Formats: sequence, structure tokens, C-alpha cells
Amino acid sequence: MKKFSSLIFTIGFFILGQTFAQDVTLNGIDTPDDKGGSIDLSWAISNPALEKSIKGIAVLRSEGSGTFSEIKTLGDYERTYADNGEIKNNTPYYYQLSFKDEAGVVFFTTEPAGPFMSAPQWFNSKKIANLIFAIVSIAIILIFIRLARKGKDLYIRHLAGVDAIEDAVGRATEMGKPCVYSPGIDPIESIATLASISILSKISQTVAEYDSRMIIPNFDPVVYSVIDEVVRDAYIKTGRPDAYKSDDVYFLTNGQFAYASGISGLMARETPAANFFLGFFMAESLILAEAGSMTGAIQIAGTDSISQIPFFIVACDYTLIGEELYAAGALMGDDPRLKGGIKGQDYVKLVAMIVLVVLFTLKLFGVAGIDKILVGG
Amino acid sequence: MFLKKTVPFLITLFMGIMSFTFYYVPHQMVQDVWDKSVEWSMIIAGGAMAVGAISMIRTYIHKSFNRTNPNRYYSMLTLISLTAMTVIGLFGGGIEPGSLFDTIFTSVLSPLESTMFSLLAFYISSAAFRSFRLKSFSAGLLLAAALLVMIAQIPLGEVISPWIPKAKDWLLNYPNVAAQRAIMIGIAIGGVSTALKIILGIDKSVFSGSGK
Repeated sequence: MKKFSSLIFTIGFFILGQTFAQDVTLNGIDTPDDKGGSIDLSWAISNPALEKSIKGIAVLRSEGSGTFSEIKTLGDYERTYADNGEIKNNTPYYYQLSFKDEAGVVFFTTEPAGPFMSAPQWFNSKKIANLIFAIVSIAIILIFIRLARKGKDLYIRHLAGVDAIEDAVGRATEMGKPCVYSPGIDPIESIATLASISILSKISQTVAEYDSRMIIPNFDPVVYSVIDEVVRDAYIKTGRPDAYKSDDVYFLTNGQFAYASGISGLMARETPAANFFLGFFMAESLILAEAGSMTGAIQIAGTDSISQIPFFIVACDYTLIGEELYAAGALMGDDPRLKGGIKGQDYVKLVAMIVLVVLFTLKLFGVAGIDKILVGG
Repeated sequence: MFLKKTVPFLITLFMGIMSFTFYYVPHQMVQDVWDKSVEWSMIIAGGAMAVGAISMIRTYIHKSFNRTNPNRYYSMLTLISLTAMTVIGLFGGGIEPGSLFDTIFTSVLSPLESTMFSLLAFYISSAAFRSFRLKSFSAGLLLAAALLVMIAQIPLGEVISPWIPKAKDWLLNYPNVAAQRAIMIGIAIGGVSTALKIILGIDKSVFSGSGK
């Protein structure tokens, strides 16, 4: 009985099918701002009776004048579909939609729509505001680097954490105890890790000059390889290559909590006088900082991991917050160009603040399109 | 000097420009180059893991044979564990679920890592105790905010006053988010500046080998 009613229903729709042709509009466009190989389809159904009868939608595609084949079955509520399956660029495609009833039987198929073609884009237009800001930022930073190179005196405020680094190494030397340095758990491509290596190169020189000792357990093998070279280079620069101990710079493990456990054990056994946790950290940050705090060592931490900053602040003596980590290496050295970069960075922040205030004010006054500038798209 | 300083700088410059281009250019040609470079970095990382393992073995062998080191037994234990897991993984039936390697991993290593993670609960308590000491006006603000948020998290907060959960939401959604976003903007701009200095070779501290 159910099959019979379904058949009647289908025949009815088949007879009425021709009238539905005017009720469905199928459009397709090349997916914007993509690498190609994708067509965005959208359709509108203007007949409420037809809309109510649809229980499933099949998308059919043909390449050029070839035969149509079903590529996707969608729910009755879907009105868009991004076809990115085996689409060739600059090739015409035609599409049809088949509407199905409760029994899954097709009762109406639209006329072929097309041709639609896909093409790759050379620029992502959604990122235009981002690109403009990046260019302005780079220009400002380069201008200040140039000014600094020419000898212009640029004021940069001191960071207590940076000033404390030399004192911490001095304290360790006086106490005859080692320092422990952790560059974090991010790989070499992370900005935090690069900033940490920059700081480490300066601290290593101080350690070499003071004839102190610094133990550097590493989480990432690539970071270990770079740090090994950087520390060795710092000892060469200070004229004490023989004082470098390769056993003090080593790869510990790349298991997050195994790393935390390894350093905690190291700090408990060696009772260092100074601990440096500079880089990107996650949940192990508090384990390291608290274990280090229990040994009575002076602790200097710095991270750009926002969720870990509070833990370092409460458990360490000095904390470099966010961008201060990036600036520390430059502040410890005497290269004016690096300090010029920091000054430029400060002015970029000023520009960002002004732009944000202006955009939010415009948005408050109901100016359209501000969201697009702020978040893209 | 050329191989240790100039070549790494040129590679960094090229990859820096490529990364910048990749971000703005969605074209397949650029994406293919990027995908290829990601594959290469994975191969390099695989090779570097061998370098890391050699470093670890060398360090622990030195520590194990240092008779003046009272902690040398830990180093020996590490070497024995490393050797045992390697031998079991290679010759003891593979690393598939149910194998001896997998059993040791799930019954020894995973619980040990979970134990380390659980230590966080105790460390958070001790860190909270230290940070909540009323030493200054800002420490007082921190204490007041923390007490408010903690009381609002439990049913007692709602019982005392319906305003307490609302005040907590306001604290978390406005001052807290504003501060976090300010730090994030600073980090993003600092990242641009740091990357630029490294890509252009202004900060050469990561390119070792200059000597004196």
C-alpha cells in the first residue's frame, strides 16, 4: 500500500514536473580566493509546495557535453554546495539538481545549468586589510632599524627580567651551582623558540665569561641541534671554546610530561642557582616553575603562550610577558638595529591602537563594512 | 663561514619570502611549493630525531660511566629502558595494539605521564596560595577577583547573591578578554618584527658559526 501511494505520488510529480522548472534557480560561480578546483553552487526554490515535498537533493554534474552523474546527496534543507571533487581548472561543467521524495525516488530534475568554470586565484582578496597592515608594519619597523643604524638615539624602557638575567648568572657563579635553561617545547619555526635562542646566545656568553655552567635539556631534536651550535659559538666568541661541555646541552625527550619530569628531576638533583624558562610552554610550565621554586633558585621565565603567563607570574621571580620575550634578545645585545626593530614595533602598536579606535568608533556610528576590514571576508 | 652562516641565511630569506607569499597567494602553484617544503621539513625532522637520540645516548653514557656522579644509576636506567624499548619494538612483534611494545607503552609510560599531569592540581594550589598573599593593591585586586570567580563557580555563589555569577561573567568576558587580546596583539606585532629581523639577517644569533 505504501509502495503504491509512493508510486502515485511520483507519477503526480512527474506530470507536474514541467511546472517546477520555473520554480528552481541554480547558480554556480568559481569559488573565490582559492587555489582552483572548486565551484560554489547555490539554488533557490520559490515554490513552497515543492520545497515542502523535497526530502533529499542529489547534485549531478557533467564535464562539457558529457553525461550527468550524481556526485553528492544532500539534505532537503541544503541550498548551497561547494563542489571541489576532481574539478579541472578552466573546464566547463554543467549541473543539475534531482529532488527526491520520502521513498528516495526522484520526482523532479532541473534543467542543466552552466557552463561554470573553476580557476585559481593569485591573491586572496579577503586578506587585503591584513596585507596593507603587514606592509605598513614592515615599513615602520624598517624605518626605525635604518634610523637606529644611522645612530639616532632611541629610548627603550628596561625590562626587569632582562636586567635580572646577568645577576642570576652571577649568583649561580658565586654559589658554584649551575643554571638550567629550557627553550620550551615548540619546534624551531616558532617565533618564541627563535627568540629564546637569541636570548640563549647572549646568556651563554655571560655564562662562558663567568666560567659558570648551564645545563640545557631540549624537547625538540632540531632545536637541540641549533642550540648546540649557538652555545658552542658563544663559548668561541668569548675565547673559551675548551670550556664548552657538550654533555650539558642535550636532547632530553619529546614527550611533554616526560620533559617536565626530566627537568624537575634535574633541578632536584643539581639544585641550580638560576632557572630560565624562555620559549613556548603548555601545561608543563607550572610543573617546571613550581619544581624549580622548591629548589630555591632564582627563576626567570618568558612565554608568548597566553594561558601559561599567569602560572609563570606566580611561580617565578621575573616574567617576560608575550612580546617582551621577543625583545629580550635585542635588549641584552648592543646591536642598534635590533633595538631599532623594537622601537619600530612599538610604533606599529601605536598605529594598531589608533586604527582599532577609529574602526570601532565608525562601527558604533553604524558605518557598514567595518567587520569585513577587521576579520576579513 | 659560508656554509654555517651565509647558506642558512639565504635559505631563511627564501623560506621567509615563500611563507609570506604562501599566506596571500592561494594559487595551486604556490601551494604545491609550500606542500613540498612541508614534506622536506618532515624529512629533516626525522633525520634530526636521529641526531637527538645520538646526543641523548652520548650524554647518558658519559653520565653512567662517571663514578663521581651519585645519580649515574638514573642515566643507566634511561639507557636500559631506551635499549629495551628499541629491541622490543624491532624484534618483539612490532608496535601494533596488543604487542608487547604497546602493552609497555600503555601500562607504564602513559600512567607515568598521567601522574606527572595530575601533579598540576597540587602545584596550582601552592601557586594560588603564593599569589593570593595580600602584599599590594594589585595583589589585593587579584585576590578579590579570584575569590569572586571561585565563589561564582560553585552553587554557593548563586545562593549568596544572583549578582555574583553575573559579576564573574563580566570579569571573564570583558577585563580578562581585553587584557588577553592586548597581549595577543602585542605578540602578533612582536612576531612580525622578530620574523623580519631574522629573515633579513639583522638578528643573526640563530645562525651560529661566526666564531670570533
